[in-house]
Amino acid sequence: MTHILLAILVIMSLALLFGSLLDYVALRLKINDKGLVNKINALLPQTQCGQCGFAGCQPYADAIAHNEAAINRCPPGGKTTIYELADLLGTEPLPLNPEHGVEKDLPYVAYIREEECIGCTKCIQACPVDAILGAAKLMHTVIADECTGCDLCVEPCPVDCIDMIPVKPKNIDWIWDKPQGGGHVAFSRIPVSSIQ
Amino acid sequence: MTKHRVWHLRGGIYPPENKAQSLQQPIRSMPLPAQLIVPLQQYIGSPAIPCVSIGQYVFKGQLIANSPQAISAPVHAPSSGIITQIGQHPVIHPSPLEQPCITIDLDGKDTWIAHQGSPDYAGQSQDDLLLRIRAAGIIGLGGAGFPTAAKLHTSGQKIKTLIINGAECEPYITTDDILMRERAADIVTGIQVIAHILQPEEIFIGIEDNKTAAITQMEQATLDTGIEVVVIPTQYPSGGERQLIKILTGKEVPADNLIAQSGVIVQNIGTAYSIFEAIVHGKPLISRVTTLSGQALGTPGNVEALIGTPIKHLLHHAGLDAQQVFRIIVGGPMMGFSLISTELPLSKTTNCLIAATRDEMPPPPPEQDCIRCGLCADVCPVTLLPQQLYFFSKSQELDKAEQHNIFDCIECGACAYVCPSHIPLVQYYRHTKGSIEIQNNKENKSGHARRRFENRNARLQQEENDKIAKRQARINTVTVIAPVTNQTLSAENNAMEIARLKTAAATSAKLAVDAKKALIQAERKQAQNLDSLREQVETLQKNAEQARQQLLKAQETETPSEAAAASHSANTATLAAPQTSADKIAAALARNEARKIQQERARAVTSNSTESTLAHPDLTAPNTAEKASSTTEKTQNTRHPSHKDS
Repeated sequence: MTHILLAILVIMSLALLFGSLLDYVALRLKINDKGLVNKINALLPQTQCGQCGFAGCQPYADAIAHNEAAINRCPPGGKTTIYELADLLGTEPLPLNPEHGVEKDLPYVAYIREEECIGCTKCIQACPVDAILGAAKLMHTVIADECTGCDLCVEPCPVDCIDMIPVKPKNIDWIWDKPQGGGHVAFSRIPVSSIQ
Repeated sequence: MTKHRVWHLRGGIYPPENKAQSLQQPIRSMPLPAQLIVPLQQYIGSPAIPCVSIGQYVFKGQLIANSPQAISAPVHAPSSGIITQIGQHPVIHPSPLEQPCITIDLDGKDTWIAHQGSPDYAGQSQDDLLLRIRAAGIIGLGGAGFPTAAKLHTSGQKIKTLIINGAECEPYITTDDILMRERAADIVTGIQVIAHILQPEEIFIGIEDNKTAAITQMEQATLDTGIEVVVIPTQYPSGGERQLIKILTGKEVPADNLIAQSGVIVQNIGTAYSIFEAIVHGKPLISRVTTLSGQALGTPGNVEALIGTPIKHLLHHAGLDAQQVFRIIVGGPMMGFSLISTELPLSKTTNCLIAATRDEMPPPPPEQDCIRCGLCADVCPVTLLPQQLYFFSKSQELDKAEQHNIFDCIECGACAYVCPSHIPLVQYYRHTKGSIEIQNNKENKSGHARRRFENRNARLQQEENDKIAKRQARINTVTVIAPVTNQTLSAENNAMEIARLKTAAATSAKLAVDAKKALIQAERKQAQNLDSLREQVETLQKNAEQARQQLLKAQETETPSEAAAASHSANTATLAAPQTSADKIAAALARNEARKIQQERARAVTSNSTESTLAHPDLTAPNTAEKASSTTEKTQNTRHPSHKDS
């Protein structure tokens, strides 16, 4: 009888010990809230377009971290970002919510038709990354390298002189095509293994 | 002479060499083409900037594009003629994208610009020699095309070993072989120039044992020079930079180190020859020896071709059989790629062109699934795990591919050569490397955008704060004046106090009048809540009256204490009027309503007048307009006296 009691006691005390240890560890190593937000924010594409319904990427990251928003609200990041977020948060990846827009297959950049610009500065105020240059009653122009292609300047323009145009591929961005995979002949294939 | 030890290179393959066909003839020179298209970016680094204009006549060897950056090389006119175009043109590159080029229509005279060299390199300082090598536009001719002057500029790093790469392990290519056979003495002079710059302890020339004629020539030329010719076994890829270092010195250069940090520098045979030309003859790099080979050519061999010569021209003069040719490969069958067009110009790094027949290089069998045989890992000279890299590349697991050191892959193609499933492994790796770089660029760009966004927000916040601070400062100055008037009993302050009272009274009077007007309008429109509006008007009027009385009192008494008291009550009176927010909103609503009615009426009046003036010239419309204006005048009149009164 004493043996059984002893066993129960030992097991209970062990359970208590490990339980408290787990609690302590959970408290001690709690994921830093700010750290999580920063990690999420680092995965977001930083276009600051607001298509997710938040005023920029940081607020959206904040909402995701506090379980207030789903991870599928970012069209510029698209599938890649959703997968990365799901990976980070340990959740299932969701398909992109079409309410917030569709993923574009090409990067876009804003272009101001300069002869039509009336110099109202409205687009300058709308640009989240200060990528538009100009002054009141003077022509404005987009600094293409700084533009994130977020679309936010198109709406405020009173004369509709802003277009979103696909970014021209640069030589430096060119990469080899991915081979088509099993069953296909890679014609341009190097090395030529069949040298006679 | 003791034989130098040769270390064993792990992995590697032994493909058919196919070098004999291009070694039948000595180096030939090609007839001048009608036009040269000189690429400006033919090396790693930034493109050179044109320094000539369209229509300008240039001499052979004249500088046509320069670049101020360190990792770059200037470009010279390969022959004399007139510049006809400066712009984008397709070049030898696996991508179909265009790059900046300068087109020269040749005059056929091939007139040299004045140039001068000197065989006395030993009398020149190292910096001078480096400058001349840079000015001659010399880049590594082995394949990668790294600017030679940048490579030789070691910035104080002591170089122990200088290695001259004559291994030339890739099948078909014989440019270094034939250069060593025919111009051994010149190459040795070039090596001595490099040695003079670097002052190494030992100099090796590594040559594969299949080049017996070249070995004999080089051994003769290097007698009593301290340069040692080391014969290495034929094995692909012994000519890779790090691989040759391993074979000749036994050292393995760490992946994250520059090769020069290990005290070793490798230069190509062709580069040594062009250094000789630049220093001794003063000739810039405007031509190179290129192997033209393949069974579709009538007379394969090595040619000395001008940079910018269209490939079509070269192949034509080598007897290209257009019926037989199946594909044209640039750069060798292991590491090169197929060309889509033959209109492309020869660049400084084009060491080989193969016009292959279908029998010679048939289309590869279709790609099959990986059977995990492990042959690829056996032949990898860098001891990577080609299988793992393939799986990560296929599933685009970029971070894992990077962890498995995909960037250490030299793309030699040994793994793909032995793959029994015919998987184009190197193409997978090239794609993955590119994807990783694009991803890194994207991350950099998004980080940059985030910083700009944060900076902008900080700036807007700062502006807002400044505005609030300014407003606060203004409020503070007003409240500071009030206690001062209470304490100092000067007449001046008194007058100021009265002025303040005047404004207060005027404001409250105006409020009352406005409210009354609104009430009238509302009555006319028969709006609801008339009673409450009326009440408000009354209170406002009362307030105004109070304020006026206090002002009068203050003016009469002129005693500051009373004035101050009066001002206080007047202030409360003015504040009371607008500050009960419900009142304020009601008044605003009423005013808004009134304004709307007025606008409507005005619109009706104007439309009426335009529509009906013809039919009824003296209708009520203008009259009402007159009336309206007269009433506004009246209200203004009535308001003005109240101002004056107060």
